[in-house]
Amino acid sequence: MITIEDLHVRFDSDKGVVHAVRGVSINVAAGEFYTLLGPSGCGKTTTLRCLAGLEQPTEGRILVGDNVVHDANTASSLPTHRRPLSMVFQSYAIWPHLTVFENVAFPLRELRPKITENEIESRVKKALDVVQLAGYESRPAPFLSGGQQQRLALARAIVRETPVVLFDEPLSNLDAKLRAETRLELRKLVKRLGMTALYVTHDQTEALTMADRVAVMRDGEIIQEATPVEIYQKPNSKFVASFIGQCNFAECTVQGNSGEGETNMVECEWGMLSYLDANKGQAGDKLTIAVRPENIRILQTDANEAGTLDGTVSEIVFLGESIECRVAVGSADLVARLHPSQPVSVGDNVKVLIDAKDVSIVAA
Amino acid sequence: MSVPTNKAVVAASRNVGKPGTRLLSRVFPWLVLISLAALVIAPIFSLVAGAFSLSRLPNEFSLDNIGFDNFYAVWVEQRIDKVIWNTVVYVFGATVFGIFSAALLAWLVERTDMPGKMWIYAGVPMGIAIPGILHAIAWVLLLSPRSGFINRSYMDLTGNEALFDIYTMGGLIFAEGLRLVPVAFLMLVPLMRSMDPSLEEAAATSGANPFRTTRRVTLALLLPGVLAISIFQAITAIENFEVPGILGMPVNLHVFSTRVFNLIDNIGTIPAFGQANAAAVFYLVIALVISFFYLRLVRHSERYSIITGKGYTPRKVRLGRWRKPAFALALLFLFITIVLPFLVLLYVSLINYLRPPSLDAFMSMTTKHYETVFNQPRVARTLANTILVTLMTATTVTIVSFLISYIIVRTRFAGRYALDMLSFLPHSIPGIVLGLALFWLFMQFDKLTGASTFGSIYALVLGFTILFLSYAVRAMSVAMIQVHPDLEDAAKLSGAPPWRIALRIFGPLLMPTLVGIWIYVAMLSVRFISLPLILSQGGSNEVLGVMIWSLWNNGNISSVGAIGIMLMTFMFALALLMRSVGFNNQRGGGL
Repeated sequence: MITIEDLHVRFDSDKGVVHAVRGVSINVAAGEFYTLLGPSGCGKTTTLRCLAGLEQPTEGRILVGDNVVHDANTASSLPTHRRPLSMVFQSYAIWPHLTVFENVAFPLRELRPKITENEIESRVKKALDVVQLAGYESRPAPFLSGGQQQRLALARAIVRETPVVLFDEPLSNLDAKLRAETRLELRKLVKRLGMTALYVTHDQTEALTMADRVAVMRDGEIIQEATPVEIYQKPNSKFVASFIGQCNFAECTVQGNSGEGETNMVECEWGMLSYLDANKGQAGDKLTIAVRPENIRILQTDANEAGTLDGTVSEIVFLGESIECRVAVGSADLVARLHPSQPVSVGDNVKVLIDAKDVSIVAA
Repeated sequence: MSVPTNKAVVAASRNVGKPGTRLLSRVFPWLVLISLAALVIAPIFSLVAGAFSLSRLPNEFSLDNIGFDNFYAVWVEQRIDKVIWNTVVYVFGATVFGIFSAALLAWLVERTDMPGKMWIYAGVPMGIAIPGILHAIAWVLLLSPRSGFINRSYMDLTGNEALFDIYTMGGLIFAEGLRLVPVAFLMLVPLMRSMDPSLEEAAATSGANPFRTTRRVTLALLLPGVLAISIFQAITAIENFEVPGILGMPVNLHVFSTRVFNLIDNIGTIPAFGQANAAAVFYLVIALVISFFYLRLVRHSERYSIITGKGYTPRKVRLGRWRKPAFALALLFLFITIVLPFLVLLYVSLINYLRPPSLDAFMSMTTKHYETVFNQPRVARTLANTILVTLMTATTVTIVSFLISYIIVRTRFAGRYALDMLSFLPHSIPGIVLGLALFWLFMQFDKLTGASTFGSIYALVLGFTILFLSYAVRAMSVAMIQVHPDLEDAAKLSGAPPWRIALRIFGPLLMPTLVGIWIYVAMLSVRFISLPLILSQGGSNEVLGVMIWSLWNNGNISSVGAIGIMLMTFMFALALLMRSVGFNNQRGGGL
């Protein structure tokens, strides 16, 4: 439904030319919930605004459905108001001089050929019902709470029933509790209406919980594009691994096949470890490996398991639903996340177990 | 709602953007920039060229007859250094007096528990409705050394000398200082209001006593803002012609604006056009230097400060037993600046011949002066000219400033900084200087083309448009910045084409500003007399201000009173209308 091919955006600023987007290509299937994730200034919002036609790309081609909406080669660009998409803004962009009803009715009044006032009324009502704002029709828009304004912005975006809806960090102005509730509702709504969604956020939780597919961006480029599960479990770079969740990193040297099927042995600052997928790296290669804190198991010294490392607990932080435990292993530290019931205390000598399937190679 | 494709939407998306509209949107900003540059630079160029011309008349200008003689004459023979000194004393005195009064009033209404604040809030800005020329005339009627009503009564009662002579530097500073107060007040109030009280509380919890807190935190924080406003007001004072023209010129007490005017309009001497231009060049350079300092000082902070909407409630100072005296003082100020000038003019417009107030005088009151005024064909013609000039100027300035601000604020046009600077430049051009510059420009233009632009009302409209543009562009830009771009983008995403966005989103949101600027520019066009004094030639383009000036100089005081009262009533109505649309001109422009 959305195709972006080799998008480049350059801005003239006071400090010279800024190359904000550098060759982004994405392909979003109809009905898919696609998320662009990245830190501020990574070009994710610029990419979204190019799709909306609010920003002019320097190079590249953009298609919505089968329609080319922008093509830098032929210098043709469809103005924003003729593109078949709608958008929810970070600031909500609720028009302060209009009522709730008129805010939602606005996109319908711009439809050509015109539709009847009766139809406008019934469609606005339907949209307001969906976002649970029924009964607020005559209220001036500024007299709504933050959460209500957010839902009003959503109603306005869905009322025209465009095939594509764009989200520019729509939840970042809500408080934490409301944000958590809205995340799932929003995804359900988009799925129910069968819309194709492009969602921009810097919040990893939003990306993981809402998206069908996530693209992690940095410095105007897509670093990794995958499903939330894959992105979390198999980050392809140190940047992705540390941007999404916490991670332990270590430099290591491949020792060669361990002799146990498809695993390789590596030596790192923690000691000897094995990892799956022996195709990556041969004996003598230098690699960086990543291990998530929740995948590290801490065992008593008398435990009888193979492939453990010896360590000493140096610090414990109580987090409520878990405890974070810093362990000195070899010449470096590891952070492990444990269940609060696990009996560990500072100074304990422990055994550390890292399963081969939990070791990711993030850089060769 | 479950079908995600809307046929109308998808069908509409098939026709790709027209190249014609894109070309227009690319060329249009350049057209605006070039037109504005021509509008600002052409008059200045002709002014400077004229300063080197040694011909007797502007239309005899020739490249064979140029030199530095005018500058020499102005500096050595006309002793322009004395005028510079006078101007410095006058501007400094008026600014200090005006800012001090305005700061006191702003502090009383914003930071104390003085009663009756609403009266002061509403009353002080009304001062902008009184044209400077009427303000000055009223003070002459009250304080001229022999016949001024206050002086006369004082002399009759005590037998002493006159109490206060308004025809002095002190009088000039007093009258102009009072005139600066309304706009300074409107600029100072938000400054005092926007101060975060936690900054003062932090000083208190750090162990500073109230006095130290005020000195080291409150005043220190206010100082840069007050300094910027002071310089802004100094520019206003330096450009003013009306007050020095009425109070200083009759006794040969000249500041720059009156000296330049005097060189071309002095009864009994031949107009020295080239010398006037040379003096105007000095004058313009000084005004430009001060404006440059102002811009350096405020950079983008003051001009483009966005109102955060954060509602602070600063701690109020308890005045205690000084509450009522403070309110009385504020009321006295309103009486002196607004009620008294009105009453004085009302009085002279109603008595049968000029004399100090007495029971006898009140008994003789008549409306005959109003009848005389209405029966003069000259008045009707002047009134028609004034209305036409005002309507055209206000409309032109509003439209042009909208276009310029839109380009500056909402586009990535490469020349928008140049546009910004060019639109601020006219603020530093004194009205007399621009009048003189346009006088030369129109002379040359008419000589070349045979047209008769000079002496037409369009000459006035053009001059006023240049003069008031900088104020309007700034007020408009500030208002536009406060309209979040997302609001327009959201309309675009809703399928609205640009003209519908302008109509349904941008227009309604900016309406108070558009109406406010229109009314304010209309008021300025009625008030302003320095430019039309030079460009008005006889009946064809005489406006009210010019007529009042000439009636006053001919000693026709009763007619001045009658016309003045009608004019002031009309101006008060406009000022009230402006406030009722929720627009306040706190961005200055007190020309």
